[in-house]
Amino acid sequence: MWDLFLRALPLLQKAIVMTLGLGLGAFVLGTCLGLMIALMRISPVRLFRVLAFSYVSLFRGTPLLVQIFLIYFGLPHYGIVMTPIPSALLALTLFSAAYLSETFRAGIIAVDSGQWEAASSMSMGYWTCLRRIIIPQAFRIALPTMGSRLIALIKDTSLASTITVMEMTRVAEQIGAATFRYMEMFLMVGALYWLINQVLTILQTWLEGRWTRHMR
Amino acid sequence: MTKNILRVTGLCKSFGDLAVLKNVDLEVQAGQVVVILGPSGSGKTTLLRSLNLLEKPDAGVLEICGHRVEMPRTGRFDRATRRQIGLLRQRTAMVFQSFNLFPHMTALENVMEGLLSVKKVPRAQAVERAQHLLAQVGLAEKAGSYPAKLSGGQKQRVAIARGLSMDPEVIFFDEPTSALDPELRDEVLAVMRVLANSGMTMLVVTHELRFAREVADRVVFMENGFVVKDCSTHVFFGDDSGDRIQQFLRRY
Repeated sequence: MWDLFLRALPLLQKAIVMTLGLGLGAFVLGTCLGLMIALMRISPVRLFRVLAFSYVSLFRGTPLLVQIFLIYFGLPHYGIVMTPIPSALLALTLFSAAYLSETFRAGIIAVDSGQWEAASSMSMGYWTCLRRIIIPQAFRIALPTMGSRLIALIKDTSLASTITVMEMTRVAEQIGAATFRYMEMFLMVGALYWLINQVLTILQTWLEGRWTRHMR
Repeated sequence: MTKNILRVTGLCKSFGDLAVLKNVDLEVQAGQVVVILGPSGSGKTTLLRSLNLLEKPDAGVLEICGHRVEMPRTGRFDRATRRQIGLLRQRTAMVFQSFNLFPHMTALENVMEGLLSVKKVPRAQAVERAQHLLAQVGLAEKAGSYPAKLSGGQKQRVAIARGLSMDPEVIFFDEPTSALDPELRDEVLAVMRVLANSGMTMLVVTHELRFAREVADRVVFMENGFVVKDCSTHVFFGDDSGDRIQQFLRRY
């Protein structure tokens, strides 16, 4: 297995960067979009609420693979052509934003209403209150679930292999096909996924301890 | 002739079918300490929370610190009124039963927050002012502590300092000691006494009769959404305050 690992290493190195890039990239972008959708969902404006609700319903209610195919194979019919990597990044971002928005909404709702009242009573405006008081607390509440979403997202990047993105699963498939050592190759990338997610779990636990230490 | 700092006329509020405030009128002069007493469910907390629009009354007019807010028939405030509400809130402060400190900020940061994000005071100045206020409520050495590490009494004193940071002309206290055990109560009441003696205008919803008797200038007694009695503290605790008041006072 070691010889195979050494042979696969140059490709695997690039593939790990691709997997991490897609996963973390989609997570950061999805966090921004998700936060926006969460704020729309709790907005007093009905139109925003309806839009946000529909978004989550669509992107959470359909398989990620279907979304990837729609973007990569479907959109070109309407003149929107994207290469595989941007297509995968876009699909992963839109998909994760739907889940993350619900995570953030849960966090925002969980902040005690007295916090809004204290801020209002000192004449703090809606946006200032969100930015200074509510979101910092909502973020801490949402952190464990956000960590789970990130880990799920790292694994979901494997679906990008279906549209020829050279990430870890795709590399395993190709080397497996060339050497007929599928078992070893997939065990190898399986272990790599696990390792990456272990590191992320540790990071999440550390952040959690650091940010919520003084609130307990 | 002292000026009215607060005038409320015809305040009404219902929660569903339940009328909580029924045409309440109230005037408070600058420097007065008014204690609002009454049995549970009498509307006293709703009245207090209506004064800075944390609760939106159904009808009535508020005139507080020179800002006039008339409850709109449509149920929605227009832009000009929302501006008045913002200004009104800047000149009043609220102290809550459950403290409502910001748990992700230290005591000092809690007191600084309004200075920074509402009053736009430069940071260095805000730090200095907040330290001064914490010292005033006897918590200078707790500046760096997070609320989770403070006792209930200390939390409430930080909350009072936070309220004072906005330089309010009136402070509303909503059962400030109800969540505290007797020993912690006294440290909060002591801070409130000092404030009262310094000439701060205060409206206090409380069950602390001793505080009312010793500190208040006036007692407003509410029941079933009405102001039943509005008189000087001396009269309220005297023998001629009426059967209902006597009955209420005997409970304690």
